[in-house]
Amino acid sequence: MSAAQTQNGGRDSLAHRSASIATLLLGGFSFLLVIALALLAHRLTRGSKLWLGRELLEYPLWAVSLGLLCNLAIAATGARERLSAAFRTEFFLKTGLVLMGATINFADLLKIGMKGMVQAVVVVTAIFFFTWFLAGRFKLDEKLRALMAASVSICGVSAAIAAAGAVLAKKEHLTYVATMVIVFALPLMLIQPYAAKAIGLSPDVAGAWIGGNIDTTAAVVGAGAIHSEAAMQVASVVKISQNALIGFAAFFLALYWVVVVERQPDRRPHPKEIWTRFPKFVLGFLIASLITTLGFLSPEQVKSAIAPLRNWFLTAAFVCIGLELAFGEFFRVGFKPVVVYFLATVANTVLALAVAWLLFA
Amino acid sequence: MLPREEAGGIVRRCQEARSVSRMNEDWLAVIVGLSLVGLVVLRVIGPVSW
Repeated sequence: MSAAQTQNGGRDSLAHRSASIATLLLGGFSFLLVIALALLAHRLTRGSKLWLGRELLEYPLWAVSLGLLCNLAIAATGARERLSAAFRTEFFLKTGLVLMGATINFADLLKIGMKGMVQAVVVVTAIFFFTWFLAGRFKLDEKLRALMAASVSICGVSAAIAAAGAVLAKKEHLTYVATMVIVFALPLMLIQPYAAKAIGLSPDVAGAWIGGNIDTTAAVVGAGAIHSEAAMQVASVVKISQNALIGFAAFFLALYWVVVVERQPDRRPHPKEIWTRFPKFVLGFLIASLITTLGFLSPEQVKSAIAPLRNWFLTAAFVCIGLELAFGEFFRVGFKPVVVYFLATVANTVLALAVAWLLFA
Repeated sequence: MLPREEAGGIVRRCQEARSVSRMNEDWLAVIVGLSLVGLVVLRVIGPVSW
């Protein structure tokens, strides 16, 4: 090897090391930003209680608002992409949900989960086909139809990703739908818990309504928390029941796509797709619930140790929803998909309320 | 311009990569969540204190 080659190799390795250190530093800063915003959200919630005698906004709303404000600031400086390493809504949310499992008795979990499954099957099936039909009337692209129907009816972004894999959707379709999910979920997270209180729904019915309607799990947990602790637990279990169906939905959608739409029956998906798409955090949620139910932790210990930990992870998730929202994508979606998504959400709201009332009242 | 088949393959691989990263996040959430529950249990039964 010549001296020049050795020198080039040394320079490359130095550049590589500098890039790794820069990535690490940006990742650390990004993580600190999320933690600082979560801390500020808690301070503002407590502070408003002390100053005004009541909470001005509940902690999920403070967290999302601070995340959105920070998102606008870092987007304006062009640093959003570089700082996004720790904007992990899914990770913070799922860890918070595993911890939430420890706050729910397993027998209650099964009772709510069974009803949640029935509700999920009725609402998901009806809303999937309604959105599919509606998007067809608006002459939307077939693959966009599939993504929208899956995300409105099942569980937002995760369902859109599963459906995108099943129908080989375009990347921009996935980005549009993911943005629409969040843009529609945020107002619902604010409106639905107060609407539930205004019409006098019990925490069980309110939770089932919220869990059956709002598309993205983080906003479901946030809306439930704004209503009450009991509503948050029911809403989360109902949503997790819907999440658990995602593997089956992705499998059948892929099967329908290759057999009916593309007419290639030789490319049928394998049933193992059901397990591949199954959200594994559900297992952690069930195990955590069993640990408490078997008596390893008393209700007081859960309240004093697990519930605060859960709230910290959920607050970080709410901050990340605000930080991750890509406003620009929403305006590129066009008018028709937004109208379809809006009408499907209205239908979902009405149907989820009726089914929640029938099953949980 | 990439041929349609190849472009489709790239999109699929990107989606699979994104979906794999989400699945890893699922397992990571299970590990972190259950470890925290485990730590609290250990503190309650004795071996660990803080």
